[in-house]
Amino acid sequence: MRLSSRSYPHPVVGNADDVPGAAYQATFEYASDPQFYYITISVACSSKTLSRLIDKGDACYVLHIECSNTMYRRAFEFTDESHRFQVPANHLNGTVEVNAFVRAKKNIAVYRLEGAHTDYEGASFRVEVGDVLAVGEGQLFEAESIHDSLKRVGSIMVIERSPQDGDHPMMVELNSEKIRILLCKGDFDAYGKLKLIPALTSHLTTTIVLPVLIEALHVIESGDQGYEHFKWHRNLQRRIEMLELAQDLDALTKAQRILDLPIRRALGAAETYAAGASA
Amino acid sequence: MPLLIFRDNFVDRLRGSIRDNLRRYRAKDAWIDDIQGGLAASIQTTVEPASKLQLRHPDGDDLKDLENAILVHGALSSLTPVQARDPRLWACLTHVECWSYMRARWGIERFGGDASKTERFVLSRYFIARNESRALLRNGMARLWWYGYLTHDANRKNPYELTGVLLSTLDITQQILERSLGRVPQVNSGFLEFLLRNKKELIGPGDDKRVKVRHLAKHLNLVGGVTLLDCLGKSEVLEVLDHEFDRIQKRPELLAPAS
Repeated sequence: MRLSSRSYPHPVVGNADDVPGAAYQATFEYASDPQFYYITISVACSSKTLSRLIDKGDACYVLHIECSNTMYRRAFEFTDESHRFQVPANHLNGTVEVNAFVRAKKNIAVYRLEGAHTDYEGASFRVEVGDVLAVGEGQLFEAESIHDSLKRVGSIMVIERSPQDGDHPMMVELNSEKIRILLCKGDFDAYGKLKLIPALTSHLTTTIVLPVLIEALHVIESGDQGYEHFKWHRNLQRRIEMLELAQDLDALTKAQRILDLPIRRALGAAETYAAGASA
Repeated sequence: MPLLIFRDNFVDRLRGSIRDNLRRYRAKDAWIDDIQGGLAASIQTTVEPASKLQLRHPDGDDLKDLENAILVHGALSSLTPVQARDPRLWACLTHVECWSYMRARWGIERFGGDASKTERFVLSRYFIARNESRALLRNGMARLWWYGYLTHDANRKNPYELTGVLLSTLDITQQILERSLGRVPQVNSGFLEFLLRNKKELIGPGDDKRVKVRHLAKHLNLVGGVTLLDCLGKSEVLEVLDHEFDRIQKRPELLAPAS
């Protein structure tokens, strides 16, 4: 919901200079786990008129959440000054807009607001159910859908043929949105053939992705701020938080947890392959 | 068989070579396997469609959008909204599994030899062109799923009854879904139910009906400038519409002429 300063038919706290004598402020905190995004909203409303209406049940606070990417748009009502709401993780992706309001829960035939601009002096208004009575400053946050089953850790990495000639060891470039894994021509050609064989997928993950992920985790641990704005960095940090991996856990263990125990999967696939070959 | 999606970098590459591939977009059969990297372009997901995506081809003026929206949403009802906005999924379906439907419904011949227009058309109908909701309603396959998702109502005898109203005319689809208010579930279902209740006056061909539907959508949008429609129930949305409809029935001069 794009909020612009507008002229309401009645004075609205927080809208331009409608009510110089009162303010409505909201702060937001975000957290997430694999199932949900959690948004904690804390509001402070200095309008006595609105506080009275909320106490009487004639008005309430509203948290409005909108995510254009997933066409998600919902309003949540509350009356405490701080409240935590949860949204299923599979409903949000990318930029999410949050806004705070106070809205009328009943029709109010004679609405007068203490602290309103002198232009409104002596005037009263008719307010209908749902009418906005206060607006707070909204915020944007980024929901990154690393839990989604269509997406895999691999989506933060891309394997490419190295521009350098000749044989050389695998190289990694971290200066882009995705981690670039560069293989020399011979290795890249071999990789291109082997990745088509499903039984070898987990081996390739272990051989190529695991060491690169460890390298990336070392960079995150070092606190180097030069990489913080890249998608791979944000994505991995959130993954670490969601898996509740302790900060002091070593990068090798973290990487294996993030990749869901790749060694075990590779050994399992090898056993299946060996059983099939000997049958 | 689980649903396939294209690899991220393959989608980027395919998007970047639309103009080079324009000749292929006229082909009868899917051609992804024939281009470099095409054989390894897709990966399996964990999503298993409930039925095959055998879409019906348009028959003259009957575009079969409703039947196909029901089919696509029904087959892929387990998709989450986050999965259903993934450009890799829809690019794969439009270019591989549902290619023959795409050729029949969204053939590029309509632009003759205008390469720029054709390129833009392919970008919007065969890919998710931008990171915004409107692009989902343009892609030839994604739109069918989202129409079903946004209007499916399990509590109705026919859960897709409101999908039928939404797709009854292109104008209704645009008036509702191209406004942000159309994403508020009770506003969306309230508006469609209102049209259904007054179908004689509001649904079907004719300028007078189109003008009234546009007026009502605009009115709801105006009310939403002051009132948090998101907090109203469906019955309250219906009440707002009832009141305005009554007003324009009595005073038709309030309606803007058809454009």
